[in-house]
Amino acid sequence: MAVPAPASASRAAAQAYLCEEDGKRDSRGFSSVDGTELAWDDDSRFDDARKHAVKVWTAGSLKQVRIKPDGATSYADLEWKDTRQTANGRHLVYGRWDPNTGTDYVWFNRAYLDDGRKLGADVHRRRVAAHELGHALGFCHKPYNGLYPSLMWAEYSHFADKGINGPTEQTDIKT
Amino acid sequence: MNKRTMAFAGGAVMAGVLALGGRLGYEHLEGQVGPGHVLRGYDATSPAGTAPHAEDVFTGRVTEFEGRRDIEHWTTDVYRVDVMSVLRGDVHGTVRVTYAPDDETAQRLTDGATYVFATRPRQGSAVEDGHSLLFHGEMKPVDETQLTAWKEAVTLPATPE
Repeated sequence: MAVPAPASASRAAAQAYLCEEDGKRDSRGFSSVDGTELAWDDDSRFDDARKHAVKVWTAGSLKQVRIKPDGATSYADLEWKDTRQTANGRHLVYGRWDPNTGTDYVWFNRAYLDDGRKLGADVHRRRVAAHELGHALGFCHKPYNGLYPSLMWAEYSHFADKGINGPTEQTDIKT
Repeated sequence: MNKRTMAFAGGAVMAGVLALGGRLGYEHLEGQVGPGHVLRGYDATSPAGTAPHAEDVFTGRVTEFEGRRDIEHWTTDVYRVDVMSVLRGDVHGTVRVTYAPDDETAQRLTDGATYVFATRPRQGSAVEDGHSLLFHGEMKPVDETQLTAWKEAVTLPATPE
């Protein structure tokens, strides 16, 4: 990724894929992607959420990276995992992309995502999974400025309240 | 056991050894390369977004950076902090503040400088007298503007879990 904005793009459009962190941009260099593939392994109970995430990130024109289950002869680039914690920095942490030198992890926090919990419904789990897979593909948190709706906003309610369930045409797909 | 069976068993053992060796080598290489990205249910970059979730809000002087540790698979900086004044909560004396930065380039807090800390007490024994930092905006030494913002923020009602 790290695709420069087209010269014809307006200044406003060129800002769309800047990261929330100053000076950073979406980059496959900080992702779980290996070449043009992302092979995943599954150690999470939230299969429905994972399937949704893969579906929305491979729909339409989003076919630059092949997202597939890992095979018997290869190691996974990404592993879907569950944790259940609310203390020690995990307060209201719903999900996390955790890069490592080996397999990267996407963590679902069951303390908030299990049935009966604060976000204990498929619609929430799917959004969290789609957001985290976005990070695994190299997408950063986008600034919350009200101009560019994004699945990659850092606070869950910002995109949940707008009913965003996958990458947005205006911000995420254009990148 | 005939020759064919022995050859098959030997091959299976060899394959197992190679697979185990590969796995052990792979696990040896496994380790964090950065904090990654966190999806939260509150705005961790503003006093107004963070204070409703904090049990303690206080100004404190950093006396020592104790180091960066991997605690429960989170890259975490540990600081010793002298509590100077309390805006909310019951914290006092010297505590340890743990800071798991969202950004691998996040700045390290400066020894001798005073900051506002919005925290929740840590659980478990990994860090004695530990308080987890909830705020993940830019940490700057405290000034009047910040103090005013935090004083206003602690008057906001606590957000239910």
